[in-house]
Amino acid sequence: MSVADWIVLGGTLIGIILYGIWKSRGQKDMAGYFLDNQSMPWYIVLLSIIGTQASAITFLSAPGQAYTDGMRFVQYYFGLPLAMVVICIAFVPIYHKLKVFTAYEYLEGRFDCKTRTFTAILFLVQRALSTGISIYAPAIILSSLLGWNIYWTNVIMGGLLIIYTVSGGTRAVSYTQTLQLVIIFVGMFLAGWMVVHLLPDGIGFNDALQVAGKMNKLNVIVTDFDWKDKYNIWSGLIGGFFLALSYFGTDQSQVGRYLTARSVTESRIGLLMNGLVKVPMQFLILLLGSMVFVFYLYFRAPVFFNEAQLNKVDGPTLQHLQSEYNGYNQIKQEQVKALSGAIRAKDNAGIASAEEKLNQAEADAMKVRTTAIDYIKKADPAADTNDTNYIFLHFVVNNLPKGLVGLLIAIIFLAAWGSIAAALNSLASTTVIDIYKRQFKPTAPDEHYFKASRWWTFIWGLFCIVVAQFASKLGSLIEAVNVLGSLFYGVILGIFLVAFYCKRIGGTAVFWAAIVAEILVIIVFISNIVSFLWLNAIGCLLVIVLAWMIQLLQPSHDKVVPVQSGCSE
Amino acid sequence: MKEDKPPLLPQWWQWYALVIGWLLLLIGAFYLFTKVYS
Repeated sequence: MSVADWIVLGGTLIGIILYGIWKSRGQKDMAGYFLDNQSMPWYIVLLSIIGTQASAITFLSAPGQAYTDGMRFVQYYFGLPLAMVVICIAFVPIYHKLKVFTAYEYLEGRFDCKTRTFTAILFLVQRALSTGISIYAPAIILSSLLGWNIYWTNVIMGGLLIIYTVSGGTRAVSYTQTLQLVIIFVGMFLAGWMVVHLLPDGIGFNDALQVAGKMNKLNVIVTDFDWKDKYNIWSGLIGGFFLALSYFGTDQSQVGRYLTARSVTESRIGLLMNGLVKVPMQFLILLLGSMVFVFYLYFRAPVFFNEAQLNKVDGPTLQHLQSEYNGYNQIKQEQVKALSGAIRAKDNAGIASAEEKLNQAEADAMKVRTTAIDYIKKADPAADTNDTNYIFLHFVVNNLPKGLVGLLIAIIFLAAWGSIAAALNSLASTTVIDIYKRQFKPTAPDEHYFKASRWWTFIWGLFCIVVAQFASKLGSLIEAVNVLGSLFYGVILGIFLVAFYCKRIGGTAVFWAAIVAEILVIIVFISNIVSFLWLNAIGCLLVIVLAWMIQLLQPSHDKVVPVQSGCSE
Repeated sequence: MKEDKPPLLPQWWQWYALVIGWLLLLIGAFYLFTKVYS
């Protein structure tokens, strides 16, 4: 990186930390620390929701996903707007009415303490591991591409944000997320503009779209149904709906965002606006990945984007592979020019011919790439052979002008910080409210819990960095986070849906149903029967059906009368 | 924490219809996008 890049990177990160510390002023109690005394307007809630969901993985992995698999990943988000509507109708009014700090507080009032504690523990396990991956994912990419030490990169990625998250709580988290997102959107727009600008003279955005379409990179909608296909419209709408419903409705890292709103109306508008903007936002990020694919048709793509791994192959073999790969790159460059010329001339025969030759060259290049991956595996059996997450940053580091590289790397940090800070805040609130205060110290003064909240934010921050130090070999990291979420979210959602809509089912029934359902979901996942998105729907339905059956088998005196309030001490 | 009327639109269900309608519009536009460029 150049001096200009270091200045931009350092200036941006220090600026965010100082802004976070400045926003931390005046925190005195738990209501301020975890809810900001419910004072947030809807647009801060909206940006905080987006900033919590969109981690660094979103901005690194999604363009790489489009590069390798086309744009169909966007379908994964189709269930999100539907989930926003359901949450606004069913979840938001209850949480606000009961004035809860966490979503799990509600479960003790409705069921019992053990169900609340079990659900809180499921959340803590899932969120802590996911946050560790959220630290590791961008850190390993930056360390590989820029030669940074992975352990120190993990520490900076997960550590600096602890300063303002510990001191400022949810207020610092939300306001820094807002500023971070503004910088992220500006940076991503500049990257998108640059990738089109860097295409050869005479090749514009529309030409690039035409070429990407012919290479099957603009396959946004896939209507074929397949249980094992990860991304089609059906898994996106149904599986994505259950995942989004569970994530936004029951995951404290998101619930904690809209609980800070000054009214039910502000919470709802924040969530509904998220339903309006999220799908187009993901579409644009994926489109950027498709444009990077077109860029590498015109200019030489590396055999493998993670060059640190590629360099493990011995010299002569690597030279031979690169020479063979460059030969196919040459053909690709010629044929992509022929293809765009034929498209402009509306020469159908020319289009078909160039398309066939281009696809053939691409297939041949892929064979060389597969051979290279085999050599990497031979050289180092523990090597990471998935380079999806490296594609976008490889483009940034090698092609963007000085200063902009620094800004894009700063964006990776900021995106990571936004989601990690919200996660630490939610881990601390769940630990203090649902475990520590409920189980161990129910009658201490508020000041004690306030201090405990700061300590637990710090402790969870350290724990997630430790998880990051051990995370590796997880394939596409955006998928790893989503798979991990899908293992737990369905069951957690099932518990909440029973709480809201099955008034005859009591705590014991739902508790055992949740345990059995979680075991079954893990068995289904290990058996690889269905794609991971379906685990959300399966887990949710299993809890509902099993709880209903167990309740029927129970003696009538064990039926629980629903309680309409939370369980604040 | 009182529940007020929504901004811009008279009823909440109209907001919900807007979000679902927008999703359907996007899916339709993406379908056309896929067809046109493939």
